[in-house]
Amino acid sequence: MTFFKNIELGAGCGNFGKLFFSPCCLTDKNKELKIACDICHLDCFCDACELPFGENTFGIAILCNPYGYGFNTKEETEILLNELTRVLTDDSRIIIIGNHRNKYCTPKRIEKRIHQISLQGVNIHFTVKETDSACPYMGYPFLTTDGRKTNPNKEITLYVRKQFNTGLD
Amino acid sequence: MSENNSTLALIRKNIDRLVLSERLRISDYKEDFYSHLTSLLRFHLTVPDEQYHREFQFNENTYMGLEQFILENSDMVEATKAPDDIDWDLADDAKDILKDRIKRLTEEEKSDDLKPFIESTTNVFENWLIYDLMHPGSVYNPWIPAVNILQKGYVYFISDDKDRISQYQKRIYQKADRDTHGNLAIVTRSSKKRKFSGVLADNRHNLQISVYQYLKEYASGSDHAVSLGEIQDFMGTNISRQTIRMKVTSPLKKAGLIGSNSKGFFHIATPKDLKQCYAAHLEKVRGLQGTLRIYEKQAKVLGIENLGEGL
Ligand SMILES: C[S@@+](CC[C@H](N)C(=O)[O-])C[C@H]1O[C@@H](n2cnc3c(N)ncnc32)[C@H](O)[C@@H]1O
Repeated sequence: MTFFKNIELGAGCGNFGKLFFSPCCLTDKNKELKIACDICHLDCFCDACELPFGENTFGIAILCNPYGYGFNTKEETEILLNELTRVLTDDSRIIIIGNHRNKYCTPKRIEKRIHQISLQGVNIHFTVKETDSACPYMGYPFLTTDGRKTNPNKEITLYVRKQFNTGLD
Repeated sequence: MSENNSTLALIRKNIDRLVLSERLRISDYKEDFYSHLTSLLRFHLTVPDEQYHREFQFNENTYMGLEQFILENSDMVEATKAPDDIDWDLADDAKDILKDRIKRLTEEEKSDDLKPFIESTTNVFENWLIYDLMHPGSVYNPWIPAVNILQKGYVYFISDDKDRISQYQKRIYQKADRDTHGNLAIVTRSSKKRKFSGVLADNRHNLQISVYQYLKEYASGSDHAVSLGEIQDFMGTNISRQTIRMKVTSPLKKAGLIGSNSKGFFHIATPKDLKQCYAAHLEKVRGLQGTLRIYEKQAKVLGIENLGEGL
């Protein structure tokens, strides 16, 4: 059994998580990628909103160029963040890398959604930065769902704090 | 809430005007569906991407991949650069208004039966709006034909998921060739409750790609135009000339990707080619305008006040 500290969602045919956030469990919903990718790096096929992992398992969750899932609507965001914060430990991070025009993860939308939804016993703090040439993953070949080049220019980090019920009133 | 109140008010007014069609006819939306796909394909053909090396099939992955690619790279085909900031609140508000309107029109406020239709239709509308906010009024906006379908009174679900599509329209796959089963399909609903119609996309887009590439290589510029017969020979299939015209050359021409003259078809390569195409179309439009004026005159004779009313 491999030990994974981090998890990447919707990883596609890439190996981003393994290169920059190792040891990382690569996941994607699309089972066809097993044959469609030249080399398939995926460890598990699953929906980002239905993860087959226990609570408090990972320190970092990574989403690169989410498309077809993510923060497009309030309802989607609520389901996704409930699931991610369930498998994440206290004091963990969700890192989202994407293009500012990607409607599933544009920074303004993510920030708005965080304020729109309420997650039981979880606090989320939002930060965003530009991905510039100093970024370690600048030359990494990010791809769309059908293998076209995509250029992410924003890195959003959601800091996750869990408020544990101490049992004291 | 968006602070762009006037734009939102205008969007609301247009959405409030939407009604569902009394009819349920494939011919009402089929051309718009294909035209939407060709408009997306325009970006595949004109924006070079050395990363892309797959055989093209119009399935859900390609549809979604192209959607992302176009919204992120629209500046590469538009003459203008999109503003850095988009009014995402406006897109959110517009989507909510449309969702409510569709629920009310379909009388499906309480059930989840039409969820895929509401999602697909609002997703298309949102893409159209985002593109329009980036490049106002652009004719390259590939979601214009898809929004037309909504304006004609149909809500729709676009997908390649055979099981989900078959829940609404079983016959789509029974009638189609096996080699198209992985393609995108559109299922629509009008005002008729629990009744659906649909179309499974054929492989015309693969033909469009190969003919476009053939013309680009062997018929670049109006001086090198090739005849329909030569295109038919190149395709090496038993597709009739009429079908080639209908499914391949006319859509490519309509998308502004190729031109034609008395000798045949060509890839628009130079300003001279473009001028020639423009002049040919202008002449046709002027001819049609003349006919319209004659009808208007006849209307006066017959005592019709406004011939175009309600059109
Ligand atoms: C735009 S691609 C990005 C691929 C990769 N992360 C990259 O940046 O190169 C989006 C990926 O998300 C996957 N995906 C879509 N919906 C998903 C979901 N609900 N759960 C997990 N993965 C999903 C798709 O299969 C696809 O591989």
